[in-house]
Amino acid sequence: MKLFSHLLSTDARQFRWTILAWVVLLSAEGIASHVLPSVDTETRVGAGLQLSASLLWFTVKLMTIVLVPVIVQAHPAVGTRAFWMTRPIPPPALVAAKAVLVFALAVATPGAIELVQMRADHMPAPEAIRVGAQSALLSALFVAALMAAAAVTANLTRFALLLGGCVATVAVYVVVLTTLAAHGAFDTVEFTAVSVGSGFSPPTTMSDETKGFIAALGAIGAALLTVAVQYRTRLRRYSIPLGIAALVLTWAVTTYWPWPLLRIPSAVPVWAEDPRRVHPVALASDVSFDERMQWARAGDSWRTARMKMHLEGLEPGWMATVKLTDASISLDRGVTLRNSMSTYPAAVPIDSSDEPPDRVVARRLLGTKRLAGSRTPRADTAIAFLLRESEFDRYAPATGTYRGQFQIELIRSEIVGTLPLHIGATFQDGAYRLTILDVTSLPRVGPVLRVRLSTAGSIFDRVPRHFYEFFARNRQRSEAVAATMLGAGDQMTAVMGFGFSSHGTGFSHQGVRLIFTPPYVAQSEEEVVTTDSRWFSEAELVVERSTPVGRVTRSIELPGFVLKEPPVSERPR
Amino acid sequence: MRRQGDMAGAIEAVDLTRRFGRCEAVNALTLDVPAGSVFALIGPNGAGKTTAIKLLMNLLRPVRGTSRLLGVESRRLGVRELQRIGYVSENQELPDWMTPDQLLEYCRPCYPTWDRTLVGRLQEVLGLTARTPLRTLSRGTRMKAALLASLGYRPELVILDEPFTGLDPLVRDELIRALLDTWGDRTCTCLISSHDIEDVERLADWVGFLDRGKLLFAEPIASLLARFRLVEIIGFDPQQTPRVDDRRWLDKGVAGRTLRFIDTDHAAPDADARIAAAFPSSEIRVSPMPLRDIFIALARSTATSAGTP
Repeated sequence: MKLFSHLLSTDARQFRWTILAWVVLLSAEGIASHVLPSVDTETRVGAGLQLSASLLWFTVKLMTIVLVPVIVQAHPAVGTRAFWMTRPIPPPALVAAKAVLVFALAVATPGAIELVQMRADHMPAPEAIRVGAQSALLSALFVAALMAAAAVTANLTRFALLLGGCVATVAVYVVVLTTLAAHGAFDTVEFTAVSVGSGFSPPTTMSDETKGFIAALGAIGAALLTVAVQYRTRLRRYSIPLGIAALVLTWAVTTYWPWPLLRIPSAVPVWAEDPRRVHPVALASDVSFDERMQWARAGDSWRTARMKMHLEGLEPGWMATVKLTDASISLDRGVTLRNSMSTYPAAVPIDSSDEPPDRVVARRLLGTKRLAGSRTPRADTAIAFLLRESEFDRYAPATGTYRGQFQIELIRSEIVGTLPLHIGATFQDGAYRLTILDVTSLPRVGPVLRVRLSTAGSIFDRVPRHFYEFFARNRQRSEAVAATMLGAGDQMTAVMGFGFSSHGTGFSHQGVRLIFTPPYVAQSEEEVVTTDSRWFSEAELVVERSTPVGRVTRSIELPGFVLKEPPVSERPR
Repeated sequence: MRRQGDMAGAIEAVDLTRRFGRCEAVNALTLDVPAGSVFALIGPNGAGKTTAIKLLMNLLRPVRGTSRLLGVESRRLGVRELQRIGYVSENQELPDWMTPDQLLEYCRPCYPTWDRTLVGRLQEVLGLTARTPLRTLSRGTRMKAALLASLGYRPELVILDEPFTGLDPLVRDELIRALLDTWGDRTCTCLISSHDIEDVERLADWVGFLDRGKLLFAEPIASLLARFRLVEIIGFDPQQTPRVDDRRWLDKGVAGRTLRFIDTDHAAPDADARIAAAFPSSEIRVSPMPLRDIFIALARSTATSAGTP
């Protein structure tokens, strides 16, 4: 312990100016990123600050990549000339001292700054701590990987070469994979789903992130094991294979990990469990295959069958998305075609309405006669089947019975806030906070709200994530206009392909703009809302919160299904 | 003075071999450095001295063979053993951001036997008063700091790899004085490598000669000095004595009527008689050789033949 603290303090003394510069840089970046969302980036000062913040962010990332090897390689574990190698310095104490210093600088310090930022943005302490833990986990993963790379290289040049080699390898891997996929080497769900996706992504329950969490822990362990073995043996032929073996073990453990520790508990209401009450409705004639994909190569393309499905039995304030999980078509001639691919979820209409369900729900909640939405005016059709082009050509035309199983994700929506369209008005719902910073008006756009939006969420929350939409509502005219949010972004992190997704998680504070101009031409009388400055002076900002609460599974059977080319007039969009 | 194997060695190596690609840097090195001796490992540049020392210190792994330091296998050298071993190498990377004092403070907690009094005295002997980082200091001063950091805990075994290379005579003398001052009358083993015997002849009592990775011989210096003699045969007539082919004679050369050679086995009781018998009608002059001349002769002979003299 005494030697550990001696080694730690020696390193700290050696890098005292670097550490000081690092802390100053992190603080500057933290201040800039905290201030930036409140600044109008369309002004000269704001644009300058935005540029500065971007440069600081980039410098922090670059310096992290340099800082770790510089500290680790002060006592290199490669070569025969290092002073410490001939001294009675226990490798475990040295590795521990390095790890503590590196993690303190590159994980704990940014984490502490993020915690301060979250508290400054009024994020509740429990959420802030959980977000801090998630950020620390991701940072630790990055830093541990850098430590491993630094431990198996003798100097910064070789470290850079190794890192460049890894990046180049990943790039080549992606290019090869993409090329193979483009030439039909894989029948992957992802490629098919991407190819038929419409781009609309309704809120979904976050998947269980346990595997990603375990993968991250395992990868950190594998990296630190590599470092420890390299310092103990100074032989890369031991440390690297052991590190790779630990990664393989992590992959195996993660793949077969049985306990969903981070799964968000389902909160499906009792009425929704009843299949006689909540169920999909469709006719055989509502299912049709789309056209041959013109861009696809012959023999490797797919036909998508879409179903004009309705959902019945949902309570007011509820909507749902529908996702195909399994389907078959039993043709009359005795052949059964099977769909083995899952697809993306679709927001299908509720009851007898043809409108998008979110709009129906929002209009009911807002209590207005008219609502100009912010999304496509058409409801989704559910994907009912994916069939190889070759099979389609082989069996069509034919008749049979379609059987499909769908996962129905239930989403509860509610109004959680109403605030005046004034500067300083603030909405906060747990770790979601919005403050109006500025209200301006632009020609042909109308009012523009510049707001500061702060959110905090993590994979450790174990509660459903909320999704928010904003509306300008004029009660006197019984009209509302949905807001379009400009400037919001998401982040995604993948750990060993286990989809550790930070989508919607982590701490985010950004300056965004809300505009109230529908991005499409109204399709019905209920969508026509004429706004002007007076309309907005009477309006209020309404916050709708949608929460995916869980899933139920429903089946549908359609006798008399016809497998055929779609008539031109009926081709689905 | 002891011969090889007389007592338990502080350093023992058996069949130690290390290759770099096709080059055998150390070839089947078998070495026994007696405890308490100062063993000079001599050889020309590229002979494999540094590689051999790195193998002994477990800085490199041998492809074949084993070695032991203070009774412990090199591959198992741990904290306890390193607390008893001092190592200084001309190509070692010192933490050059430190001042000499900081280097000593850095090393001190690692050694339970650290002797502040000794360090203070050695600082005086070496004149090590610099207060600037090592990277700004001369090579000699850096070497002094490294030596001080390796002697301050009174190690039982000191391994010095080319410590005097590139140093001026004054610094060299200071380092030697420091070494002698440390040892005093205490038993300490020292392995010191050099390409020049002059560097170490004041210190060493044993010497080994390494060439092209092979240890050609290792024996006490006194024995070496006793064995080697410069022999001059005055009035030498090649017509009368055509056969001068004793393998124990090196560097044979004729200048006019004088034949010169080095007898490598002059410690033998019959050495004078043997030479007299070979040159019955000539005047024979036998003179002792300085160590440097012995090594030049050895190096010259091994350059043309790998045979042991």
